[in-house]
Amino acid sequence: MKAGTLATYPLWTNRKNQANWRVFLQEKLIAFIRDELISDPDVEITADTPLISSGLMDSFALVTLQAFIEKELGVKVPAPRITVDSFNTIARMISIIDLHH
Amino acid sequence: MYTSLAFFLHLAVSVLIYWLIPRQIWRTAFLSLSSLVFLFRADANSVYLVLILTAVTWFFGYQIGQRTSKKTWHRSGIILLVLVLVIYKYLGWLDDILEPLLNLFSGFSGYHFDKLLIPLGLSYITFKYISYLTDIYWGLIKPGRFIDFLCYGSLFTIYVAGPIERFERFQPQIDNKLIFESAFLEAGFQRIVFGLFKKLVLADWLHYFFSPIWQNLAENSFAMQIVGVLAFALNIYFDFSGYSDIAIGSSRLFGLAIMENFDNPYFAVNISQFWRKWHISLSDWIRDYLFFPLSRMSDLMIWQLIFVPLIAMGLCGLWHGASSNFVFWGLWHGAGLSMLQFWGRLKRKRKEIAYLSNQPWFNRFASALTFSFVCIGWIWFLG
Repeated sequence: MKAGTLATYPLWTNRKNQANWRVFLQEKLIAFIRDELISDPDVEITADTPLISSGLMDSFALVTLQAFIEKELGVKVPAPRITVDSFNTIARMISIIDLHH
Repeated sequence: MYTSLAFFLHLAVSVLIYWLIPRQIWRTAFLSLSSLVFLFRADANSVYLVLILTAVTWFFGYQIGQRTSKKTWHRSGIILLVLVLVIYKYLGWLDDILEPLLNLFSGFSGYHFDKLLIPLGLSYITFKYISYLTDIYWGLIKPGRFIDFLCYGSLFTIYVAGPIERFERFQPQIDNKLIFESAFLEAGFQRIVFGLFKKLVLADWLHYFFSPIWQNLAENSFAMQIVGVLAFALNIYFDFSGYSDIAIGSSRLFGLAIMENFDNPYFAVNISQFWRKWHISLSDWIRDYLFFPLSRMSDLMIWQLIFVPLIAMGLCGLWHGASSNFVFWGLWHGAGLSMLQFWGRLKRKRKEIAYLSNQPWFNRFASALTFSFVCIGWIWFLG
C-alpha cells in the first residue's frame, strides 16, 4: 500500500480519529478537484458545494476521481456507486468512500 | 406489442390474480409464470432463451458469490453471455463483412454463417444479466433467490424494450410482502395512458405524415430534409419514451417501481448530459460496465479522451442493431463526447473560455448546438 494513502492513515478506528480522517479526506479531495478537475480554480469549494450540477466539474471527471480515490486513497469504489448525484458534493463523496473503505 | 389488446388483457388478468395471492413469494412465482406465458405467445424461442440464460447466469452468480475463483467465474459468465449475443445477433452481420476477406484465403472460401432468428428481448436480457454478474463480483449485491432472478429476467412489462433495470433495485421490491395500495393502480394507469398518447397519437402521427420524407431523405430538398430529420427526432423520442412510460406504468400496477428512462433529453446542454437523459438505463449501463472499466485500462490521454468514448459509444450503437449505420451513429456520439472532454480541458486552461461558457446566453446556445448534433446523428441512425 502506498505511504500516505487513506488505507495507511493510522488512527481512524475511534470516533475522534474518524472525524480527523474525514477532515483528511475532505482536504485531499478538495485539493485534487481544485487542481485537476474544475473549470474555475479560483472558486471556493466546501463540503457542500455542488460540483457537477453547477457545471464546475463535468461528469467525465468522475472517471478520474475513481482512479484518484483508488490510487491515492486506497479505496475501491465500484462504478455504479459513482453517479452524478452521489458525487455531486465532497460530503456525498466522503459518505460513499466511507461505505467502501 | 405493448399497445396491443392482447397485452392489456394479459396485464389486467395478471394484475388481478397477482394481488389476490396472499404470499409474496407465490406472487413472484406467478408473475414469472405469467411473463413466460406472455413471451411464449409472442415468441416461443425467447422462452427457452430466458429459461436457459436465467439458469446458467444464476448458477454463475451463485459461484461468484462463493468467494472462490470469483474472477474466473465472472469472466466466464460474461464471455458466455456476450457469445450468446454475438452468435444470435451479430454473426450473420459479421459474415457479410468478413466474407470478402475470407474468400481471399482459398481454405475458407465457401464458409459462411447463416443469420439466425434473434430471440425477442435478447439484447436487453444479456445486458441485465451482465450487470447482475458484475454487481455480485464488485460486491454490490449478493446472489438472489432463483425465483426472484427469474422474475427479474422475464418480467414481461419490461422484457422487450426495457428499461434495463438493475437487480439491486428490483430485488428489495419483491423481497418483502407488498401491501396493495390503490395508488399503485392510479399511478400505473395514468402512466400507461400518458405513454399511449405519446406512442399512438404523437409518434404514430408524426410517422404517418413525415416518414415518407425521412425514409427517402436523399430524394428531398435540403429544407425538407431538415423537416424530415426534426420529425424523426421527435418521432423516435415519443415512440421510445412512450413505450418506456407503458412499461413503467404496467410494472407499477404490480407495485414495482422501475427506473426512469427519459428526462427531457432534447433540452440537454451538452452531449454528455443528453446521454444522462436519453435511454437512461442503457447509458448508465454503458457508463458503469464499459466506460469506467475501459477508462481504467490506461492513463494515456489519447486513450481516455478519444478511444474510450469511441469504443464505448461504438458498441452502444452496435447494441441497437447489427448494422454499420448503428455503429456510425454510436461513433458520432463517441466523437461528440470526445470533443466535449477536449472542451472541458480547454475551459480549465483558458480563463476566457471558462468566462464565455459562464455567460447566461451560453446554455441556450449549447442546448441548440447539442440538439443539432443529436439530429445529425439521427441521419446515421436512419441508415
